[in-house]
Amino acid sequence: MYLLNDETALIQTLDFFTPIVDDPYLFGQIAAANSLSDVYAMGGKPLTAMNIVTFPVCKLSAEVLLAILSGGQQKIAEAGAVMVGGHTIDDDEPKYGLSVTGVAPPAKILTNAGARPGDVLILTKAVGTGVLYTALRAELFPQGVAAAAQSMAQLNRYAAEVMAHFPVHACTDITGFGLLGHAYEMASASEVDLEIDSRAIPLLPEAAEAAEVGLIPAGAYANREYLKSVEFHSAVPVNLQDLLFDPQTSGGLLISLPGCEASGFLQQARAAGVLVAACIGSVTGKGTGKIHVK
Amino acid sequence: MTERLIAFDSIHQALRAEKEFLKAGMKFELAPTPREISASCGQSIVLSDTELPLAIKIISREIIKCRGVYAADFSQRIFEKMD
Amino acid sequence: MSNELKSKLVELNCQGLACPQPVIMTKKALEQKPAEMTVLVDNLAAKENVAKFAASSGYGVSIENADGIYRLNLLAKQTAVNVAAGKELAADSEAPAILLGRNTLGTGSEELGAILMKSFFVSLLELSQLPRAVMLINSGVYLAVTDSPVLQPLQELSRRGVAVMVCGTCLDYFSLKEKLAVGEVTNMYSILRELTRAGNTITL
Repeated sequence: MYLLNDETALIQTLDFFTPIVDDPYLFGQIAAANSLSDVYAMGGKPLTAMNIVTFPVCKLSAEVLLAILSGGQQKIAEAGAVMVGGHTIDDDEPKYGLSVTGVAPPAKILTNAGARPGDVLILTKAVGTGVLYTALRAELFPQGVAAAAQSMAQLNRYAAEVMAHFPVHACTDITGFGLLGHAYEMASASEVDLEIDSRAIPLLPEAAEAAEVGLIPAGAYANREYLKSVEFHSAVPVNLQDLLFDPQTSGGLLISLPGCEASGFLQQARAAGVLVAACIGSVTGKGTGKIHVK
Repeated sequence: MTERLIAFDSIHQALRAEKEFLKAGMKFELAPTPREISASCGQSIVLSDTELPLAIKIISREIIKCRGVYAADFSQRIFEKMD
Repeated sequence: MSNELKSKLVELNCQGLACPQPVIMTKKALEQKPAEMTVLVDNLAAKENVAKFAASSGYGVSIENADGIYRLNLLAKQTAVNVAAGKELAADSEAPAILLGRNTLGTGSEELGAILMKSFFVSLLELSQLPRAVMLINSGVYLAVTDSPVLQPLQELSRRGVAVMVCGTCLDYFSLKEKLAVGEVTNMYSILRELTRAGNTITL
């Protein structure tokens, strides 16, 4: 983030990865949505984007590359931003993503530090993309896999635009460290403790079943190992616990805002098409980033 | 998996452990060794993870021979041997 | 990857394979419905995942770790007791009734008898075909009162539809009427009716 002047701060972000779905257009959409997400999580608006591409020219046809880029372009346009260029190199596997430049008024920039006791936590997308990606590779749970792809391709734009009308204290987007990983980052940066209601967490279709039969990515176990300050109530089933550590791709926004604003926010979010947005917990008091999951 | 299971090959060792654990006022149960762990008819002591350190201390002190200590989830029937 | 059949024991070597390969291979192997099998993996995620898959597919799991290699022993849940009995319960036979005339099993040592009774009930719960009734007479009624060491399995049996019949005269004799914690108080007529029905009665 870079302060240009009193009214404008510049946000620069970058991300790219290998395909997580078979369809190249969908892959382009997901990678682009993922790259754009950071800007939204900071309360900003994307302005321009550049493509970052690696592609095995000898193994895959140009049509595939075109489809990926078209998917990316669709999302950039949907975000109201402009594609201003990019760079492609040859590589064994295809990878795609964007470098994004956005802006935000400095006074309205959101970070993950700032959550306060009495705040309510809202999550804007369902969880379970890691588990369903594993299911895809095992050729199981096709319905869940399709739902995950659709969810990953969604822009966080609509949730971010609703956020602008509310006194949000902190925000982060949910990606590789899983819901609990990013919640912990928010809690420890804000010096608070959290309580999360496992039954309130929106889950992607078939994610719970996929987790129950052990289609869990190694990253979820790594996240669990790393997060020692999370405590589960004994009634929380193991598959649900695993989903809370499940690394997400292009996940939703985790928002901390005053408790009294929560229902107003949810109403507006659902009206804006963010149907899955839900209250998943609260900030219980000042602390060190401890999370209690019930 | 918050339950712990100490499996004994000999019922006499299991009974010795039971006596010592009772003396120490511990909470535990004597139960047949799950078949997943051993096909032969043995006895085990099941207790919570909080009681385990004391149990291990008593077993070493009294030199009671056991086959192993397991983390146990009876509802899922998953038993993992601990080091 | 090796998949040898050693006198009915299947061993699946999934070392060096990345998730979800070990789960996929285990899934394939379990489609053959082996009574038992072993899976070898070399990383924690694979160990956790195969264990979870097995548990969700009707198999109990025992896990050991030697030098970084996890050995998972899978045992089909319902055959846990049939394997020991060495015979399958006939699918069309009527479920037996069990008559317990005392609260311990066998003679020789009361202490051992109590342990055996506990093992008996735990194993009973694992049978694929439960008895139609458990009848308790004489000191057997002690098994159905509040501090009985087999109260939990008895309650579970009752919950699953097994008739737990407790002799009223015996409860009265031992002054246990108020402490009955599972089953129904019955009299000798009901017990005799059960005893003379078609189907086996096992007396212990």
